[in-house]
This record gives sequence, C-alpha cells and structure tokens, in this order.
Amino acid sequence: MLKRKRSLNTDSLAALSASVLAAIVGLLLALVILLICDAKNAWPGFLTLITGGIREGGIKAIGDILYQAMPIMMCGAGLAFAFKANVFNIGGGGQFLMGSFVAIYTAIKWEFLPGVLRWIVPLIVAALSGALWALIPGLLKAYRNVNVIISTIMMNYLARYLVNSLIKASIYNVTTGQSKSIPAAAKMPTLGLDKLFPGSSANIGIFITIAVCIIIHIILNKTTFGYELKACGLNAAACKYAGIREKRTIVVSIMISGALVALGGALLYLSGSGRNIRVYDTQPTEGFTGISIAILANNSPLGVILSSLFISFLTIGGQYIQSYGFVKEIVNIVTSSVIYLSAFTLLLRVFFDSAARKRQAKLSHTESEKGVTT
Amino acid sequence: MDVFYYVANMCLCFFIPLLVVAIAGLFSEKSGVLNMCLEGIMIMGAFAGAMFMHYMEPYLSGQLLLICTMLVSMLVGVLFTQLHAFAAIKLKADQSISAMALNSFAAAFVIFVARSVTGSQHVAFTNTFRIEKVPVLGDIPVLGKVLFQSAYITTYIGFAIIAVTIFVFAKTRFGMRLSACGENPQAADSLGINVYRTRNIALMISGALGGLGGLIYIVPTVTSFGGDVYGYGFLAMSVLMLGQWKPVRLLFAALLFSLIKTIASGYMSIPFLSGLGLSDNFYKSLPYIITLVILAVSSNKAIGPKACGQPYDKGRR
Repeated sequence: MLKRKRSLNTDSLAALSASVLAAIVGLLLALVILLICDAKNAWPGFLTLITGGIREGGIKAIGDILYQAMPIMMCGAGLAFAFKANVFNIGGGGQFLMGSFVAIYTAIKWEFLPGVLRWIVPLIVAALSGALWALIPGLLKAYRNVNVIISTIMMNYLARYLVNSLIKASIYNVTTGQSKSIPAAAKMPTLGLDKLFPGSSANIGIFITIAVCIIIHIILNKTTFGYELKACGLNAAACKYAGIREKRTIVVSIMISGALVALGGALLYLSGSGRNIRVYDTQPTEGFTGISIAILANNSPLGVILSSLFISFLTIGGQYIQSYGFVKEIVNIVTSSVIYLSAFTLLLRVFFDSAARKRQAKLSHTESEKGVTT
Repeated sequence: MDVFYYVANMCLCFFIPLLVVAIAGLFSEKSGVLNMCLEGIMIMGAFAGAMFMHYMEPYLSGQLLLICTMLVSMLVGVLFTQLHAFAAIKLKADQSISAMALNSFAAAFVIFVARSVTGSQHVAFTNTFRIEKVPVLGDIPVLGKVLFQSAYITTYIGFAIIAVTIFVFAKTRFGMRLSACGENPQAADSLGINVYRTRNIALMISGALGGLGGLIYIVPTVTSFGGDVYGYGFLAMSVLMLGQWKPVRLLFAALLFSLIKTIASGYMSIPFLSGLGLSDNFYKSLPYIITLVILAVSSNKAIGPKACGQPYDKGRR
C-alpha cells in the first residue's frame, strides 16, 4: 500500500517536471523567435513576457492576471474532467458561447430576481445550458459511436450561428454590433479585489473557480463516480465487463464538462468589465485555450489552477510586449509549442523512471557489496 | 440553366479541396496514424502559398506561378507534418494531443508571421489563374461548360489525384503494405515491412496533399488569406468517415458535402431557396447539422483501420 502511494507521488512529480520542462523550452523558443524578429528589442520584450507585464503594469497586472485566468481556468477544469474519461471534448468554444449568451440573457431579462440571485441564477442557468449543449455530442458518442472531436467541432460552429441569431433576436445592441451590456445589479461582487488591485476587473469569480477545481479534484479522486469515470477513460471494454455503465459515464462526463465550460463563459461576462459578445463568425478563444490548459496540467484539476495562471500570466505579458513592436500572437505560439512538447511527457517519464531504477539498482548493489565486506 | 452552371462551378470550388484533403487524411489513417491536424496543415499550406504568390507576383504569373506555388505549399505541408510524424511515430506520443497542438500552432504562427512581415493579418494575392475556355473540350455541351470553361488546373489535378489514389490502394504493392500497417502493424512487421518508414512516407504524402488542399481551397474563392480555413480540415475528416476509408466512396462523400456547402453559401442566387425566406444563420449552420446527422447514421457501421491512432511499438507483439 505504502509503495503504491509513493509511486503515485513520483508519477505526479514526473508529470509536473515534464510540464515545467516543456514550458521552459517553449519560452526559449519564444526568445529565439523574438531574436529573429527584432534582435535589439528581443531581450526587454522577453523580460516583459516572462514577468507577466508586472514590471510595466504593476499591481494592476496582477489583478488582470487573476481576471484573465478565471474563465480559462474554469474551461480547463471542465475539459480536463472530460479528458479523464477519454472523451476528447473540443467543443469548449461552443459550450462557452452558449453559457455566455444564456448568462447575459438571464442577467438582462430576469429582472424579477431579488438581490444576489441576480447573478447567482444566471450562473446556474448558464451551466445548465452548457450541459444540454454537450448532451448532444455525448449521446451521439455513446449510442451512435460518432467521433467526439468531429461532433464537438460541428457543435462549435452551430453554437456560433445559433447564438448570433439569438442575440439579434433578443439582446442586440445595433450601434455596437454586440450584445447589450448587463445591468449593474447583475454584476458579480468584487469582494474588495478592485481595491486590492485598482484598475483591474478581478472579482469573486476567481474564488468560485478555484473552489470548483478543488471540488472536481475531490470528485475524481475520492468518489465512486470519479473512479468509474477514470476507469472508463482507461479501458471502456473492461468497465463494461465489470458492470460499470460506460455509456452513461460518457454522457455524464461530457455534460459536466460542458456545464463547467459554460460557467466559465458566464463568469467572464457577468464580471461586467464592459466586454460583450460580438456578432461575427469567429470562435471564442477560451475553448481552445482550455484544451491547452488541461493538457498542460496533465488533466489534473489542481494542476489546472497552476497552468491557467501560467497561461494568463503569459497572455498579460503578451499584451505589454506589443509596446516593443512585437505581435501578441507570440503567446499562442508559445502555448501551442508547450502542448506539443508536453505530448512527449510519456517519453520523459520513461526516462525519469529508468534513471530512478538505475539509481536504485546501484544503491542496492553497493549495499549488498557492503554486506559482503562486513 | 444559368443557376445550374453557377451551382456546378461553385460546387467544384468546394469539392476539389475537400476531396484532396480527405485523401490526405486517407493516406495517413490507412497507415495507422490519426491525422487530426489536417486543419493546421491546410492553414500552413494556404499561408505559404499566399505568401509565395504575394512576393512572386512581379516576376511570375498565370499557370507557371500557380504550379510553383503548389510545389511550395506541398513542401511546407510535408515539413509541417514531419513535426506530427516525429511526435506520433518516433516518440509514440498521444496523436490527438500532438495534432491539436499543431493545429493551434499553425493558426498562431500564420497570424504572427503575417502581422510581423506584412503588417496585416491578411496576405493579398492576385488571381491570374483562371482559364477562360479549354480549346475543343470547352465546346462539349453541358460538361464542357461545367468542367472546361472558367476553370482552374487545380480541378484536373484533383481528379488526377483521386485516380492515382484509387489505383495505389487497389493495385500497387506500396498501397497494400500501407494498409497493412494500419490494420495490423505487428503482422506487417513480421513480414519484413518497415512500419515506421511506411507510416512516415504515408504522413509525408498526407502533408503534401493537405498543404496542396489548403492552397486550392483559397485560390478560386478569395483574394487574400486571413489565416483560417473555417474547419475545412475537420469537414474533410467527416468526409473520410462517411466514405468509410474507401477511395471511391470518398468521391461521393466529398460530392455530397460540397453540394451542401454550396447551398449554404450560394442560396441567395438560387431562386427556389432564396424564396423560402430562411435566415442567413440557418444556411450557414446547414453543413454542420447535416454532417452531424450523416455521422449519426453512418458511424456505427464505419470501422476505420484497426490500428489507427495507436503508436506502433516494435517490442509489443
């Protein structure tokens, strides 16, 4: 028992060190790209990138990092949950959009709600809408064997066009070409974070998100449902044999995943930072960023907290890097390289394992030699 | 009749790239490597082509430029797929993760380079490639007007590619060996086929066709490339599934999808459809809804190459 626990710990340690290594190599790649683009400004630009803009933005940048991390952390947690069950939910974009729309709609239209319910109810309804939206690819996978990646991508495009027409029909602001802004009463409380980080939009959402990550961690690791879900992810056929309803597990996992991602969208737009949904044909980036975050965290909900803060840190750094004449998309290059590199974690883990085994063998060897001499 | 020619022409513009990219996926998946990064390969190919055309326009024009550009796009596609090959074949990494990383890398890289080099996200080029009328063949009634008037050589290249593909998989030793690597790599290996090398070659072909597909998607339809192919790579994967990994069926699957796509983007010019008064967003959603329905009906029967998506490990027999 003790031995098993130890090996688990080294496992997560190896995963963490692999992710950190991937991040470092990704950042070095960014430095190389900056040097190629403009050697003179490369070093100060790189420093800005890796300090998350805190040098330039000061205390406001920290608040911005927290605010920026909130939606993508929620998306990452949701997607990691589905990935654990081996359901490759790429539909983050669509689920995020559905959640965003439903949250804004209920925040504007449901004026009869009293007090804090003005923002709590929209959050809940948004999560439900995300779950329903994810139900379709879930059912298609479980009962019709449709590839989840393809179906969720199709659902992304559908969500985009559906939300576009829904906004135009209900909460469209003709002058800005966006959805209307939410009323002040439906804004989430800031819990004094606006005083702590003046100028930023940090609010209660970051605490909600971290709490959700912890709850997901507990569900995955301490409950029967979490065990069944992980087992199905590892071997669905064996699960069926063992009496776990693997179809139900697939559907429920993607629904929870969709609910969380949609909640991320709701949190972003209920922050009331002046952002509204634009009516155009592009997907929200948070869904795809969430994938990166989940993979970087090796699908661990607690790891998601760290990796989303890391990505948010880089994103804010990327905004300040523009003052040196660099293009902010460099951040996306870094994150995608990091994900590409972290696909090799398996290789790296094998390397770490064999190194550890060699060390142990050497140790026992010298011990036995000692035994002979004495 | 004019409407018919309009629809047929537009349909061809969607059909050829969809077919070429689906064949790109076919080569890779038949050999056992899941190629989920077709979207990224298309973006890279289209971008390389657009950049090449943008800068070579003063020196070259017409068919010569188009052929040179196609070679550039194919080369870039091959190089880009090598990243996937390195991760998926050599390092035995998770193929979906590597592919998703490459997709987002391509999208970011293209915008980054375009903004850094040209100052704008859009890379403009001039379309000097249209052939008004092919002599003799253009005079054939109906067919001549569809295929040989205001046409692009890419159309003929697309048909040539599908013909070669059908031949390769049905008649050649290479095609058989490639399929063997995707069905049962252990057995293939025991017969002396180098699984790693075969998969690598398959991925290179896939990359070349994917890059080419990206280019021939943008050439007839737009005059500036904005860094996105709008999920076309994933549509091609759906075509592959609907075509059940069989080259001849791919042809019909691609035709079906391109017809739907044509209706979605050209409904304004089709009197019958524009009279229905349905919203723009409905028509835009149509290809995706129908894809889902088709997949729901056909996926239970669709069984791809058995070893597709599993990294081959020589030590595991």
